[in-house]
Amino acid sequence: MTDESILLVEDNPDDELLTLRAMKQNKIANVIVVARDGAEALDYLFGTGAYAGRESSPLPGLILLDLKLPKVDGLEVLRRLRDDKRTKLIPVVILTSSKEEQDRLSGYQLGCNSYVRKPVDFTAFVEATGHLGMYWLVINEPPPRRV
Amino acid sequence: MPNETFTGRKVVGGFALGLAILAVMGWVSYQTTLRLVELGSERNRAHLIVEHLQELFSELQDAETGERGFVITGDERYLEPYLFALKGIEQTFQDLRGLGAHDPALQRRLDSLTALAKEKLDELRQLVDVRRSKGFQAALLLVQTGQGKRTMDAIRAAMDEVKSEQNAVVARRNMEVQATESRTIAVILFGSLLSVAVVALATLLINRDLANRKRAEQFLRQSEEKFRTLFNSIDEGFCIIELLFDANSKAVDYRFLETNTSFEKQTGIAHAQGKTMREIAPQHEEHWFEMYGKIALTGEAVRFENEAAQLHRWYDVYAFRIGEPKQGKVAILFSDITLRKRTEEEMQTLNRDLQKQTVELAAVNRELEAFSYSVSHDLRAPLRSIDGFSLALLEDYSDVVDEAGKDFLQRVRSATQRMSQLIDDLIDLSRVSRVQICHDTVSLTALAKSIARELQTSETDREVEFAIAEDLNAKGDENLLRIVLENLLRNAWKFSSKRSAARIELAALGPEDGRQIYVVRDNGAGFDMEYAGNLFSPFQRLHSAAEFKGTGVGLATVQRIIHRHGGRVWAEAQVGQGASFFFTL
Repeated sequence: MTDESILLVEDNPDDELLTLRAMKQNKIANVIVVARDGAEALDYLFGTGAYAGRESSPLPGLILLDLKLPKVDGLEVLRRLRDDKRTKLIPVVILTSSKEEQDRLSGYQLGCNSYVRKPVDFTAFVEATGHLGMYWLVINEPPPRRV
Repeated sequence: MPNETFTGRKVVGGFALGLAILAVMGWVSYQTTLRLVELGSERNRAHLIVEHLQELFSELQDAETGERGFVITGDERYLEPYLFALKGIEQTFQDLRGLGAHDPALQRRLDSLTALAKEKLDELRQLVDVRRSKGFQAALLLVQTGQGKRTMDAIRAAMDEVKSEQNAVVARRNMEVQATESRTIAVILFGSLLSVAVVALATLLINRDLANRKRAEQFLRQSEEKFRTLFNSIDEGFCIIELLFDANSKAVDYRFLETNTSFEKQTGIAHAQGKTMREIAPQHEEHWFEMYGKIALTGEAVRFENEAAQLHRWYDVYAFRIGEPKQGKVAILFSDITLRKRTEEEMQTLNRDLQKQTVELAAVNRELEAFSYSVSHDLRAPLRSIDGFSLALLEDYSDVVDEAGKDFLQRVRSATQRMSQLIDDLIDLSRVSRVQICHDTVSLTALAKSIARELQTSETDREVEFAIAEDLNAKGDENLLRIVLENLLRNAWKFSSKRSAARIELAALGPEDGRQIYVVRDNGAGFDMEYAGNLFSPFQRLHSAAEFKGTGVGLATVQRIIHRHGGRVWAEAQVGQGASFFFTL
């Protein structure tokens, strides 16, 4: 298991809590950074705005991205971070309740690595989170770091 | 027309030739006749010469005989023939005199003959005188000298010479006459034939010319008839007008020279022929006169549509100049398009309305899209919270919450699950109405098999026999048809869950009205047909939630999709025996 941080971009405090709870139940111990809107997420990643001065490294090893975000929308965040050399390769899992095909299409077109629909049933949600964690943090090999 | 003048020339030439031939023939005949006459007269002359010579000789003989008689008898009576002959001889000499004029040799001979004859006469007279004066003996002595006989012989010889010569002349002339006659006949015959031939040819040509003319006339008549028929049978109005110009060469009016039968029908104007347009419709628009005037002046043919307000009509007009430019005649072919124009205007209005409606519809659809999107996203989030925290409660505070409390929390969780499912179904239902249908060939067999596999993997402990017919293809939207089969097969799966040997079938039945009927059959719980009226209405269920889960939206979705494909859907079932769901595409 890598010890890289996970960036969770989620505006809903309930969902945030539940996701963290699910992570805990799955014994995922990585540091989880939460950004509550698109702007905050970008600021964190690029060391701008509220996070100005933060060391731009280490960047998170996984980004869990919700789509409907205030200020800067999820797809826009994705586009920006795929445009930037620094964040281009970071695995992004879109975690959203939207079933819309258009969102799925846009997500993949903009370069997300995975698209997971948040189930309503919390048990299933926990299970899904466990799978996600297992896959992206243990099985999957992240892109090489340039230090 | 070149043909005509050529024939005319031929005819004139022919007649001229015929006349020439006749003239030539006439001249030849005349010449020949002259010649014949000449020959005839020459022959006659020869005959005359011979005759006269004969006469002379016989007169001489008579005279001699008379003289001899007198000499012998001394009777004066015997001198009668002698005297008579003497008288005649004089005449004969005169007759002979002119006859040798044409031939000097002949003349000389005749003259010498005459001289001899005169000698003879002298001798005879001498003898008569001697007898009378000296008596018989002296006369006898004179006779015996033989002079008389010698003279007579000479005369006879000379006469024979002339006679044979003249006979030869006669013979020659006869031959010439014959030849001339034959020639003449030949010429006349040939000339006549030629004339006849020429006249015949001329007649032939004239006849042919007449026949041609007749044919041309007939053709013209037929053409005129054809034209007239066309003129009066066409639906379009056709007329020929004569433009009337004022002093400045501006077209101010026009007169109708000819109108066809449809003219009245198209314009509503009867008996227009002979009248001018301003007489008929004083407020006729200026542009009509301008247009026709221009056509008459420039000779350009023009096609246009325009309104004649006073007649309350619109016309489609094709007009062109005919005849000589200075005649100012224009032919107009036109039809009344008032109805079409009105229809066009109506159509344009309708189109505008339609476009507006389409724009509005598009706007409504977009609103609906946005709504569905937000529903799918926003409604689910709170549900997740409800479920999540209920579970959290259950988990973290299980020691503090009693059984009843745990039960409540479980119900809360179930309710949220149902609501989530409902939301999903409703989203599907609304999407069905909004989405564009693609018409592809879809393999129902493949779809059904894939859904069957999903169902099997979702509940691996169930053993269900799937009988899916092969090669079931239909024309429709693949996504929507997938939803139909998902709903029907899921229902079949669900409602046969209580049966151990469950069998689900998808098959095609014979076509109805050109459309294929498909059926999804199961041998599960079935339903009571009496309550089947509401089967396809949203939220209507025929089983309680305790028996079988369900939102009651699935079949409504199926129906909406099938209807959008123009098909029909219905069901038959028996309680405990299973259900069959039929649909057409």
